[in-house]
Amino acid sequence: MSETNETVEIPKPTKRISDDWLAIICAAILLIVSFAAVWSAQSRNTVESEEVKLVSPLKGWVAKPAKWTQSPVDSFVAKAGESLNSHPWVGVAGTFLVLGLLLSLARSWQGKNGRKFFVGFIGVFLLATFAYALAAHSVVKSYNLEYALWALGVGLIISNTIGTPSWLSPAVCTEFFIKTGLVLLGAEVLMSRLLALGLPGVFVAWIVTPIVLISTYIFGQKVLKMESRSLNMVISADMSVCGVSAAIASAAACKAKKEELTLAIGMSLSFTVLMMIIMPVVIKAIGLNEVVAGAWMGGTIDSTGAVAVAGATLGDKALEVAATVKMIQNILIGVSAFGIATYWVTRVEKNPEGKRPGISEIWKRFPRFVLGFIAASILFSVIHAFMDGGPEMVTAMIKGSTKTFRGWFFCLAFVSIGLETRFKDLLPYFKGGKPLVLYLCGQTLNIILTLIMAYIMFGIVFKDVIK
Amino acid sequence: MMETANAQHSLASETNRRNGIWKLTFVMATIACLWCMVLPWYASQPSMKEHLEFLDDRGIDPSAMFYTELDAMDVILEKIE
Repeated sequence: MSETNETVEIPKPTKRISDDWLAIICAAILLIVSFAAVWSAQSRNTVESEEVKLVSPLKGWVAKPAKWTQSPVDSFVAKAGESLNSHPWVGVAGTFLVLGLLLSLARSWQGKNGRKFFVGFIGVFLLATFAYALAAHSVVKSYNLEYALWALGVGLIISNTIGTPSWLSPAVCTEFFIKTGLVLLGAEVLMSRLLALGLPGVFVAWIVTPIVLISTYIFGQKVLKMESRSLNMVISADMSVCGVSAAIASAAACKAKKEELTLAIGMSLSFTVLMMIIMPVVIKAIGLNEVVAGAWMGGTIDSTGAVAVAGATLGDKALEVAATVKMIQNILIGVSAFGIATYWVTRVEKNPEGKRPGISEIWKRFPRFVLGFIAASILFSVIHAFMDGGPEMVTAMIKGSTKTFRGWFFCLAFVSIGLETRFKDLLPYFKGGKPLVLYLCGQTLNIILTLIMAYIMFGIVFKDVIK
Repeated sequence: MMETANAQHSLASETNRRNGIWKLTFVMATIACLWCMVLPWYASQPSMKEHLEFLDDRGIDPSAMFYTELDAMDVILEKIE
């Protein structure tokens, strides 16, 4: 036999960069370019006039489908007579080019086929655009049905009807998209805004929330005896912190399965719609003070947009307090992701011998993208707080491009989850109704504790300070 | 025997593919009908129109995932800071 004469070549071990590091690098490139663009615009503005509002030069060249009501064409084409970059299709095309090229190069660098990735990315990006257009209808928006839901739906429709085509597969990179999006989100988590409402805001958003998160997790483990710790954690985090964004961050930090993230988001969005409608009605019926009511809703309703709607239903003061409490709670995402990742690598993922891992083992296991997320948050918080013109530059950077890039990454991630999921894969997670019981019990605790804290802080202790 | 099994398999996969295309067409037609006819009609109803205007006037995007996606936050932060 010829095999006996052949020498077996042992492939040299290649050190391929991990998804975590690649996500950090891609996000860092986008952040640097976005900040540099704003920096250059600021320098020009300073020379010309100090009164000009700082706007990122990338604004308009990076966009998502716009809100529409009567015709889906309005989602891509602006009214006639406006400049080229005012048309959303230009921004969508610009985003496609930037992300398509950057990610294809990144995948090639990782040793994968960049060309095949780009071909697949065209399909995944088109599906994400379709999902964004569905989510952009004003009525759909008004019910807080976020793009995550439609992106999942679009992916699920494809995978459960004709099946995910093989040419799309190289660009179906759920974890990579989520991690890159999270590092970009880090730049929006500005610690300097933590004290926007002073101590009462911190008490409602940063004392009650961790208590509810930890209690719900322990309840799921000790009382409900949930088999999946990660599902338990993701539901606890999205219910107590701030819905979909917290679910994404916590799922990535505790390495939850994509089906678990899907389930947690589905429950969160369903209950958010209910709470957004019911809470203002209940508050009006019991005649609760507008400021206390705002703090209560800000601390309990999962999603930021829904909090604003519920607050506005009660009045401008309730809207201000509710939205600000939610913003302070949004900032908790970074700390919770870091805490969950640390807990997971030190307590949940044990060594085969059952021993606690040492420092070097913890460092080895710790998800690097969480560090990127925290680093981006610290860096932009420092720029925002201490640099001359920092608040204007950071705001212009976020609004002009990074927020949009982050949205696209999450949308691409949810399309990818849908493309990888069959409906029958989701069914076992509904077994016994434990996730639903967990959500209901956790949310009940959240509602009670937040009401007590909001009443004490905003209704009694700091009543005269908050006006 | 082998040939018959292969033929049955390819027939089954062809039927599955056709079923998949029909299902996808049905779902897409439903989506098109809902988004291009039902939702625009619902948006033009007086109560919904009023609600949408109420949200627009206050710079509220009810589907905002993070505070940076909420235009209303600019005014609130300006007031606070």
